[in-house]
Amino acid sequence: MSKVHEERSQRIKDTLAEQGLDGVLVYGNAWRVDYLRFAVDYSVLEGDAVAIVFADGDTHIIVEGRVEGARARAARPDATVTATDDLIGTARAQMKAFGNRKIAMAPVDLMPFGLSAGDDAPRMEDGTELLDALMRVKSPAEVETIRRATDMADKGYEVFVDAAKPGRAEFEVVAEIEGFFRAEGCQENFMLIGSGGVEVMGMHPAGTRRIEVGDLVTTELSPCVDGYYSQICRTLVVGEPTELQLKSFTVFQDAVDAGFAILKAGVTAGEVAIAENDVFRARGLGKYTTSEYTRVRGHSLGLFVDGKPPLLEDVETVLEAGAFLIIHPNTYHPDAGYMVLGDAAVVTDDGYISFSKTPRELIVAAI
Amino acid sequence: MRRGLLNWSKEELPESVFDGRVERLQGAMGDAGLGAVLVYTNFPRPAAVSYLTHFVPYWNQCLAVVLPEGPPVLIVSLSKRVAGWIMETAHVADVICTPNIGAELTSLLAGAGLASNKIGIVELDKMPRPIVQAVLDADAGYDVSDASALFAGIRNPADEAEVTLSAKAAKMAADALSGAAQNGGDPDLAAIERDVRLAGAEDVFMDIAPDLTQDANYIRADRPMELGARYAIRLSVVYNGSWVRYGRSFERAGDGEADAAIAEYLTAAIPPLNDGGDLQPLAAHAGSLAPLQWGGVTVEGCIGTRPLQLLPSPPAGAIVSLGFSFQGAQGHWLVDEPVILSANAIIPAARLVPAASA
Repeated sequence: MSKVHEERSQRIKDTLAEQGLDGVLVYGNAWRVDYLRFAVDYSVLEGDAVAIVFADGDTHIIVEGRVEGARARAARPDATVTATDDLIGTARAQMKAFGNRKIAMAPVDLMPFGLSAGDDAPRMEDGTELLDALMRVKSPAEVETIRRATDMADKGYEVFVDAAKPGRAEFEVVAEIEGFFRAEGCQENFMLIGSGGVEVMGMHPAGTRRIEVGDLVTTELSPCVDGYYSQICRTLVVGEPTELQLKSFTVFQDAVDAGFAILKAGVTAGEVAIAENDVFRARGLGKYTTSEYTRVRGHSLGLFVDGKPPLLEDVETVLEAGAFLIIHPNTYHPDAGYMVLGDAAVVTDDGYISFSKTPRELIVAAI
Repeated sequence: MRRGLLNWSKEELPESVFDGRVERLQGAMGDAGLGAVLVYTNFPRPAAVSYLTHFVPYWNQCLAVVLPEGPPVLIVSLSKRVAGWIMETAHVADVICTPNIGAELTSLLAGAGLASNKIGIVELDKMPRPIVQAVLDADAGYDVSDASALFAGIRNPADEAEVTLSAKAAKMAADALSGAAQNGGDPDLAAIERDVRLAGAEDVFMDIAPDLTQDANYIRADRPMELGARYAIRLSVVYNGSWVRYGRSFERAGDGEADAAIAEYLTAAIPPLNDGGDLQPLAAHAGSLAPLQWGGVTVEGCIGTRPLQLLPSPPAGAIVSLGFSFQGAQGHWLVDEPVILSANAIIPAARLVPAASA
């Protein structure tokens, strides 16, 4: 068992004891694998998975199909793995066989209907907040993994800059990144891309558009190392940047700086978002901080790439020491098009630690 | 997330293909007296909605609402800023962006003027509870039932578009693996990944059985690992919504006798699969494998939301991926081969990657 999972297991064990629970049932899939990864150190790739962890560490994993069964057994040879094409029926049967135990489940908002339908369904408490609280604050071993993920993001961005040449299609650029990540042993990557000029309003999954000289090429690159996502957001110019592009980018630099300037344990997610947005408002660009043009001003990171809390002005969640998040005031700029800039950081009592090394500047890709 | 090319080429996949598929489902809905069918989609369960609309959620979760007429309506848990991108890459009547799928769903159903309050849900048991509960709690008093069998009934046989796209996905995998191992050295996994994506794949998963002399189980190739004297690489490739698995075993030093026997076996055993789901010929041709022995086969294909699931009774005319295991004096050999099963007496079963290029 890895050191990071040893720590997670102990924290789960302590929480179960505090709450008088016998175990926890977690559900996951390749989109929402965070609860599963936290509880049993396994990331399902195909189909859905259910795992039950008891206070003594006894672990049962149920997955769909023989292919995923082999993957699960390789990841957790010490656990009891069941591969089935009846996930729900198997999970219900196992819960029944475990008898009348006090089990919490998470995440409740994604829990399959069949697990709780009918009078004979297993009775479980909502354990989502219990696990959310554990996942929000990163342990020292988790922070070390986050550092490695952030290193991977920096290295990946170097590959991105080399790949973003005139004539290359967006999906061809992404192929280079993914080949690099495969060689580096990076399991997963969340990545959006945008390319073009002032007409570009956002980022999207890779398409067929070919990069041209003068384009802004944006990306949100989020490699996952041992289950933990870090993220980097940068904008590059293909060839020499124009004065307008350089000037437009300063608002993003100043907004990131403003967010980091107040970041420390005890501030709210909303306060960080307000600090970022005030920079835009001071330059008459306030409307570009609204949902018409952007989604969030950053968000939590970790075992899920888009975690809670989001950095939005009305979010009152207090950031704790050990929280891991990205500050990214990404939005449309009317003079240059969509621009992005962001770095991830671990919150501390008196500030933050950011492991990012890529300069926070408008990157120039030589042609 | 989905990490490759997400693009809708209407030359490869005309809107009429989706219209035809949706009309088949609407016909079955009418026969069953259903007012609407709900189909869930997320990153690992995209197959049913992409079959009906071409939409693939690169992230998050969504619901396709199939009403008695017209293309489906998508309710998506994505920012409304991507609604335009969705409309460009999907054949749908409308896109509703919301963090609360259940609330939007009941509002949509209430305004649809349904002739029947019977609602079918594909894979009801696996639908997130809040979505189902919203329908159950609605004032309209909907009668909810599982529509998995109804959907499976219209999902196959594969149409011409699916055959073409699946063959393209299979060729991407075969091409990438053909140069994987040179002169007995270690395969360049990064090059395999890159090649498949450069060819336009929507995504690729890579698994490796690192030492077939000891063990026949595949594991995720997501970290460096030591490979033995004989190993296998399996690629699960998706192109425009069509998934296949293609895998081969590689021997660092050998006389090629086993490879030749497997090639002969595949050539002999697959064309006789002319009764659709009758897989007896696969075992019946085991004699052509000498000096290897036949170790069994698994059949995976698509009948619901999962792109590839075990099919105990594969439908006639379906695209399936056959996972063979063979045994020799020194351990295992693994082969994954995508195949179209025979739909009728006119169209025979066939490998999606022709023997000459496999």
